Amino acid sequence: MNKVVTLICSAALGALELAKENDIVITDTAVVEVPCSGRVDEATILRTLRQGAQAVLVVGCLASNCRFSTGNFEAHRNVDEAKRILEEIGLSPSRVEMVEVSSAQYMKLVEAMEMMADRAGELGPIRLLEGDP
Amino acid sequence: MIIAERKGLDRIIEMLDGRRSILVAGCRSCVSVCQAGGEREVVALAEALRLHAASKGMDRSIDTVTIERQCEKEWVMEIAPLIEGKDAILSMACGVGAQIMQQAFTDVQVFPGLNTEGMGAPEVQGVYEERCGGCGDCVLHLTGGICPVARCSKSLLNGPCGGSQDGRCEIDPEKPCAWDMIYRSLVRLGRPDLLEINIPPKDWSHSHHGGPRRVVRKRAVLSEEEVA
Amino acid sequence: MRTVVIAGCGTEARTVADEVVRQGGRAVLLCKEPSGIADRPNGRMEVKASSLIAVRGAPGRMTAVTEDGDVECSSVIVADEPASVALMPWTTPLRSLPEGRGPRGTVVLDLRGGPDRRGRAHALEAAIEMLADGTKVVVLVDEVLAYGHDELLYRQAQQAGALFIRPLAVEREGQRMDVMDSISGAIISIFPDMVVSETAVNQPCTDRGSVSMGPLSTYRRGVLRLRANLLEDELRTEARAAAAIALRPPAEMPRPAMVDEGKCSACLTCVRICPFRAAYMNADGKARIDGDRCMACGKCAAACAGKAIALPGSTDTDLDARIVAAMEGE
Repeated sequence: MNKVVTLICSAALGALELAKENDIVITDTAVVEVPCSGRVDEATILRTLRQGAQAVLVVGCLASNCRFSTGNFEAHRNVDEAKRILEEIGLSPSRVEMVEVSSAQYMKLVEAMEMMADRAGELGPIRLLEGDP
Repeated sequence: MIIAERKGLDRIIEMLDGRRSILVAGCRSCVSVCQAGGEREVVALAEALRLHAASKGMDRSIDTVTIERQCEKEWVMEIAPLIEGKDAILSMACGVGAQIMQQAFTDVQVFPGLNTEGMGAPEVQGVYEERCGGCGDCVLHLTGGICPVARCSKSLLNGPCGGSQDGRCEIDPEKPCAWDMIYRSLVRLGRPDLLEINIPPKDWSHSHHGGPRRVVRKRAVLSEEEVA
Repeated sequence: MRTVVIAGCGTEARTVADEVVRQGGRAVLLCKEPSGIADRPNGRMEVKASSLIAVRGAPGRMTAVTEDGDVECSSVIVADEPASVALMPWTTPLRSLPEGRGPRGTVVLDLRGGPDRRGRAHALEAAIEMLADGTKVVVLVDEVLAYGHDELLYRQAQQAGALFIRPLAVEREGQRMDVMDSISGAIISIFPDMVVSETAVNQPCTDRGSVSMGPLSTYRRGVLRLRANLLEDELRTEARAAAAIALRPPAEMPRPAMVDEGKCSACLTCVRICPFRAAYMNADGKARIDGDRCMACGKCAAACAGKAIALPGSTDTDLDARIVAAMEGE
């Protein structure tokens, strides 16, 4: 099974609830709540991949609408850093992505999760496809 | 403080080729402040190396530690137990710390994870620029507090070159002309007269000459009895 | 009965104060020139001829620091004119210059977006003094008030050599400031040695928060800010909302982030990035998080160069455990 991990902030969690209320079933992704997307640093993202995740989606608030004012800026910086590191060690940076949603944009969230699931499928588990035999 | 930049991970991986048991050692001093080799970078780098090893099916163990100041023998010796069984130490300190590490642990090769970029200061959070040229013969009182060695692209000592345009340097227009800044600073201080003082060519025997410079602070050197 | 401190003199402040009383609270109105506002006989509203200097504490147990002493309250509502224009980086407040004297060289005095007439006069007087010292002064204004005492000051400043520009746009690029004159369209390049403003404030605690942070919120829990220039019915609604929020049972503050001083390199990262200005350097030169301000977002925990900050409930260990559990299907 494709394993995507979604790290979602407490504000954007509302979008997830809304998706469930609209009978959208979320499969193929493990969801973990963080207080603010800004809590997510590059090491956490890398550790998540090392635990076996094939893709990591960080979900935060819309720019200038962060519940904690500017937390999502930190998240963007750290996601970019994680992507840079992945590139330098020979893995695909598209395994990690950040998406901004408001708590009403459940479709945008669902689409992002599905996109990451597709990517995880294409890229496969880290050990097998990108390593030397 | 000393400012440094992490080497590319591809380069670090290349350097560590064949090594199986690595200690990544950071420093809590300058390189923490300029976010190159502090605990945060050490942890992220270790994760990156582990991820890389996993992707290559490589058997590798990575340990981490961050030392208070990697240039201080006593602090470095505190981590001696961690060196046991290691075949490589990746130092995330400046060039000084990396050397003290190798001096302390003579049997395990030390690899520099950073490139040291000189002495500088944060301009804003995340942007660190060289400020001091380390010439050993400071003339900041004559230049309104702006180092002509580090901040002038040509290290000129008595005014701008002809390429100074709109306050910008002709070598790198992204950088301000140091002598333009020196002029403004002296005017602000009310001392434009200092520009008329001729600064003679530097005596470079104080710097980058005849081996490492040595500073002896007599007041601090302990006598034999005290050390014993 | 909860006490709400309201800072301001205008209709907004008075409307909110009345609303607080109407909703069962006690209002303390801080207004420098309280002409026409009387204390309420039943003690439900008190007027102090003073202004708000600072705010301390957390919702339910706040202290409004005024020029005439402290007022204990449950929350604070700011209803005065905010510093409106977004100031350019590195703008110095006029009051922080010794005796209003500027540096030599070129000073740009930015008077756009306010201040009030008194502040403007003060700034122009300082400009005249600087010009007498030989400083070159460029004044950026929205409007030139050309009547009475104002006109006299402007004329004096102009005669002393100040250059007045009404800018359409101002851009900074490195050392250079490009000012587009609104009348001629010409662009004037200046190399200021300092940019000074009468209104540059160092009190961000009353800056308005973003939409997501909650209605009328500021960066400090327990401090609300009204919008300016509201129409009558808008003001009524806003005042009602402000009073209702201010009189609610105080929101519990979350468990704050904690600094391990032994690991702190005093790099100032947390101080610079905290959206709520909760991180500061203590007397020992180590970072500390003010529990009355920390909103537990975790930004400092992520950004700390030395991994010295932990957010209870969201430490690296906590997150790893939750991630592993979620991946295993809980």
